[in-house]
Amino acid sequence: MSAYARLLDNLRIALPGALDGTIQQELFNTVDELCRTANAHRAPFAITTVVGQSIYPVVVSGFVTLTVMYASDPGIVFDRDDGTATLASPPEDVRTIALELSLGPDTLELPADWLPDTVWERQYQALLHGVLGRMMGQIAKPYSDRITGAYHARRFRNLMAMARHDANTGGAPGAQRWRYPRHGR
Amino acid sequence: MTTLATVGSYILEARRILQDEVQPYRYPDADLVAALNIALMESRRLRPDLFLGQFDPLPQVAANNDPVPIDPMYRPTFLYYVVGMTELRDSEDTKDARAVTLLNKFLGQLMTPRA
Repeated sequence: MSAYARLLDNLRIALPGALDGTIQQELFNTVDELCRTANAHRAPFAITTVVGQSIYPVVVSGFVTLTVMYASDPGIVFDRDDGTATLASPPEDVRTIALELSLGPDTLELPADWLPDTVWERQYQALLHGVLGRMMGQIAKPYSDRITGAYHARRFRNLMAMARHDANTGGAPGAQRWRYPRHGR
Repeated sequence: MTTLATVGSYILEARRILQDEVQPYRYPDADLVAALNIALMESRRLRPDLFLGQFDPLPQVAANNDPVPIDPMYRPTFLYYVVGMTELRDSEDTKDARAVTLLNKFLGQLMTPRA
């Protein structure tokens, strides 16, 4: 049984009277928030430079590129609006620049169809609690339950904070959480 | 076995509960279909999620073969409404209390877990 099928079954059991379409809608919202807030979905990307060209598209089909988490070329600047990366200076040779991108959903299709297995496995609990919190927070439904919904929403926020920490530290245990403020760097 | 997937199956089941299975019928098909359409309108107000992907225009049904675009989980709920609405009319063979019970069951099943 896939993680998605297991998640859907768990949600159906916990939410009597909920339609699959509504669950999938809230699953999309949860995945979207998790990606945008915690950079939960990251993927490698490579730019092969062209001599004299500074600007390169950073586009992954089916996703929105939220930010560049890591670049092997430190001078690179990512423009989120244009979806382009600009090098500090035009390259004088052909080389490959490795990026790690944080991606968000750009489709309303089922998350099962596009969200990688790694995210399902790592963020299973966050997705479960996130959807439960959102569904139970809806008003006047058979599965409405403000108190239990608030509990799940709180668990989701905690798990999202852990996911964000993992994204920032590479999941290393005991890695430092503080950093100099931007003006001090 | 009925699956309440089409207008015709709603009419059939409603007649069974209403004990109106012998022609000439007490309740014409058109009245039962009208009650089903009112149920769709009422549920759009209470449970918009039932109409995910079909908000505009609001689904309406007419012919016996028309599918009723409701999740199987909620089809009996709509049957209760059809029977309840039909029994609301002021006639000798209907009982107001039964009609109110059925209409309340419709509301309860749409909005609470225990109805």
